[in-house]
Amino acid sequence: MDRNTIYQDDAVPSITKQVITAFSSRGIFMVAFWTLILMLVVMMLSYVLAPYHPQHQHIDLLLLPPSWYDQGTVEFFFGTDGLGRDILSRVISGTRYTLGGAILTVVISGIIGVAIGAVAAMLRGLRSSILHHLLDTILAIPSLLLAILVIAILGRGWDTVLLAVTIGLIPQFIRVSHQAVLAVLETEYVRMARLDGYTNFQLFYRVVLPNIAEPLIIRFTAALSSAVMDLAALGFLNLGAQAPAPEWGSMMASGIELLTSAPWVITLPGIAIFISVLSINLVGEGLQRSFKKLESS
Amino acid sequence: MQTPLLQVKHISKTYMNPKGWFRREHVRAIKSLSFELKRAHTLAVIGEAGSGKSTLAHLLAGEMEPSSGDILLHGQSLNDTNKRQRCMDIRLIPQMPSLSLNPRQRVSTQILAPLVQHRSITHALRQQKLYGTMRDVGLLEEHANYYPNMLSASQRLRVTLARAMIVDPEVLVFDQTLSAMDITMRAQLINLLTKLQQSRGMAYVMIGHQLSMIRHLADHVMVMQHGEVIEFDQTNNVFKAPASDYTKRMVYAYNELTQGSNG
Ligand SMILES: Nc1ncnc2c1ncn2[C@@H]1O[C@H](COP(=O)(O)OP(=O)(O)O)[C@@H](O)[C@H]1O
Ligand SMILES: [Mg+2]
Repeated sequence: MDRNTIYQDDAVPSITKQVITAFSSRGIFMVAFWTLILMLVVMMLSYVLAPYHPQHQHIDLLLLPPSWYDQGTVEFFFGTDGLGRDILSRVISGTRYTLGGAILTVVISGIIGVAIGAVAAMLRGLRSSILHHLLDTILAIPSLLLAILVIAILGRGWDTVLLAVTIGLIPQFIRVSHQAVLAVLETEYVRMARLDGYTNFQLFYRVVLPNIAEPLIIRFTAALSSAVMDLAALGFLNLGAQAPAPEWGSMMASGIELLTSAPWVITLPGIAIFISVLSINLVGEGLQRSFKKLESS
Repeated sequence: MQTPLLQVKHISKTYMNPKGWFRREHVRAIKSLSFELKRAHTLAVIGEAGSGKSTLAHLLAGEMEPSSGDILLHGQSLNDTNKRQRCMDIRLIPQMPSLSLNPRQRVSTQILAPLVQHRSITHALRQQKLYGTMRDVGLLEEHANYYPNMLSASQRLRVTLARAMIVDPEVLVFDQTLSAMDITMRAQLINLLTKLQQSRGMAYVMIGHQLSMIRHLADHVMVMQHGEVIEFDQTNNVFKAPASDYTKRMVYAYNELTQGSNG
């Protein structure tokens, strides 16, 4: 009989495998996925991949156009900015700030938010209804504005901006996990699991968690793209990463006066933001559809 | 005289609904209800909506404690101290079998859940029990690794049956389980339940079912109204000479229907 079980495990793939299969069957989502992976690899190898130090100023080569212009050179593929810094190197190093910062803030706010939301839902009662009203109020404020509020209190700077974006993202995670856990706890299968003798911990781990995975994963991807945009926007407003740091948003801000004479200074970081947000959103969309497929099969 | 398997003695249940900030509304869902049930016998419970039938199911299954009164199994009172064992001896088959299965867990895990929780038995024995029970309720071995959405409605019901029966319960409580089913499924199920009752000696409490089912399965019929028993008799007698208004109307409608379809 044990032999049977092993065979049959192959015959009926696990939920995770089913989602992965559904996801990988769509070309566009796979392209987005691999783009994202590529960006993560670039982020981790940015020290090796960047041809120059992102802060190094080539004083005799200010505002060098990209290589496909007549005056451009291959050594500075995407040209240089007003201080003679290599733009390609700065965009590559910028992945650590904009993308890395976004991942960091989402992971931390996700863990905190989901923990609070889930515990509140499991406890129920008065506390949870207070939480609900509080959250509704906070969620009426966009995460970017919330982050700006935090910066207004704590002052500008990269560390503050990370903290601010983290705080700005927490309410969404609380709300999503709180609602999802409450919805699952009301189901008949939880009632039956209780009668089967599941302890609260087992109930959470084996019944609730697998059933809230879908909204949580989707919230994580949505939060990731909004974190990239928030970090870039705050950088652009000069509230986030400060002057020499190659954060994509602040790179764009520094190039804004040169928009007409040297558009490449602003274009490449803009494209980097666009591609990362687009691929994150597409991956999220793909996951969402894969989960939907699961329901309908 | 032998003690009956299940004895329910003067149980009552009062819900206290918070109403507004300080006031509470008391709902007396069951007022002093008693009955007995023998091994391998079936009791049908019928009554209008809101008469307390589901509350009775909750109380029997151990989801909540009665406000007063006693439920005895083999003459032993069931209460908080033996709650775990009691949840294994009296098992509930829910109204919507499909909704009562976790969509993210394999069938085998769900059927085995009560066993894993309560008994330290070997893996081999557990597997043996799993496949034995699945066979008894008419499932195939390969269904064990399915997820609920891969099964038909009737197979899902069988899974909930298997999950209830894997701990060898003495009483099964069906809370309107079969009312939403089509006729072929119901017929299959009547046969299955009769067979299981004979082979395992389980007693059934069947709540809120159609008279056609009751006629086939039940030994006794209990009629409830406003949390009280207004009629309790052998099935034959109830059909021949219904006592209460509610039952009279039901039986009358049932006879109209069956004679209509015969003639
Ligand atoms: N959880 C609950 N809290 C408060 N009142 C309840 C609850 N469940 C049921 N009731 C009330 O108890 C009475 C009996 O309900 P129920 O046992 O569900 O009846 P039935 O299953 O026969 O329709 C109804 O008046 C109902 O409103
Ligand atoms: Mg009911």
